[in-house]
Amino acid sequence: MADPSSLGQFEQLVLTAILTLGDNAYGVTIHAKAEALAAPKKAALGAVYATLDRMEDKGLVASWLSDPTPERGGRAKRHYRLEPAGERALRDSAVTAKRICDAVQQSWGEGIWIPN
Amino acid sequence: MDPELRKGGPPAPIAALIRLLIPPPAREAVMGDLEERYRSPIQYASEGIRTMPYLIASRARRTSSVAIVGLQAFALVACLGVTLPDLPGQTVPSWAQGGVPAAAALLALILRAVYRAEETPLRSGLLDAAAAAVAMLLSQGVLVALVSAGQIGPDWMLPRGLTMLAFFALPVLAVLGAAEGRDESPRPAVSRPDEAVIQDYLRFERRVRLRNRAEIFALGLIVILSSAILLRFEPPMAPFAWPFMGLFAALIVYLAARGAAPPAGAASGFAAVRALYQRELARQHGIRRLMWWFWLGPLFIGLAANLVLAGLAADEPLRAAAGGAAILLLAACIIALNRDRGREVRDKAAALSAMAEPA
Repeated sequence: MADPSSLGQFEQLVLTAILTLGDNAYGVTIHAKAEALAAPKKAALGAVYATLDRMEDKGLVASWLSDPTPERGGRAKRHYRLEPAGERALRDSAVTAKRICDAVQQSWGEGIWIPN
Repeated sequence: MDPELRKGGPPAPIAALIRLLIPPPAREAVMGDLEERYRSPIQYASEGIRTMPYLIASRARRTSSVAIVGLQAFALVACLGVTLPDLPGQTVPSWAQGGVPAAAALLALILRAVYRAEETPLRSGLLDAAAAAVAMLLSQGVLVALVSAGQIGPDWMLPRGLTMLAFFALPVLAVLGAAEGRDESPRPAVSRPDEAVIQDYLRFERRVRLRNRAEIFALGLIVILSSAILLRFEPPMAPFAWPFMGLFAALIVYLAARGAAPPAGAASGFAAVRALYQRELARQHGIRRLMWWFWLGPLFIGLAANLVLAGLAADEPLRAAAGGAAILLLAACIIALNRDRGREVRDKAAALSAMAEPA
């Protein structure tokens, strides 16, 4: 089963993207959201697919095909949602990240959050 | 998406090419995503090509079991003479001569697993063997072209004797390919348990029957080819090889008599079919577990002779140690394959047990 410590940074980004997108989480939107979260770093679309496959195999997310839509050349979307194991893994990662943020802020002050 | 950014759809030839390269299970969704992100033909083609390695690697991870790929590699390495000691005056080592076609065949098998559609075990095994044969021939074709162009020496080509030995890899690869897919479907439908179990068992029985036939055919081919070689050339290992032939012939008889799963006709009703299914799953797993050791037994002998014994005789401890490690790795691959299959069979049996008996 999912071990929170095994979640990589990119997996955290993709899980966060799925969480925030809700019912509209599919390849294109997940990629856009993950890239926005990772800014200024870029994310490859293929890396998003590979990460989604891996997380599906780990039981962190589930997927299903929707009905075809005309703007996609009549092709279906593969939608994703978080599974309970994925929610737990993301929550644990967020708690760890929060502790890191608090510790960094304590040492360097609130100025750390101002972009260079 | 922003409709302002969209300027028509992607050109049909580029879309068709990208579609062809995307592994089938991801095709529908990824083609739709690429179409939705379409800005220009160059952007579309570039994004499609950049996405491909991720999709292929991800699919390969999902479709290729480490144990199966390991066993395929061992079969190719043994039959292409990669482990053979070098002869005096040989300018290109045996591992390089055999390694090129072995690597080409292994790559072809991995790619075939990536692009494989739903197939019967028989078809799957035959196509695997065909793909490996084509890849080996292509690799030799490329080497011929390089030799003709004066880029490499003629010793890079596989020696004629080994070309014949390479044919022995094909039945083994066919059996590995046939056994790669599950005989049983992992999750039976639960809406109509009685009908679902019967349909599921019929499918299982058909797959086992086809796989069994493929295995008998492959064993028969090996016995015929090996016997012909033993009679024609009378090699020094003939006294050890004949008992193997006898064993393989006995296996053919056993598989013909007991290898197939019995038809469901004799069992009527949900409980009887379910019990038959569970019994047969366990029995087939037992046969498979044993068969792998028989199929791959000659590889142990080859590794022991070509690496361990040859290394000790030539005072090359590194060669002997590599042989020992290879033998352990081969055994580990067989054990891992049997363990994975055992887990799948237990999961299936548990899923069948959990199905409620219809009122």
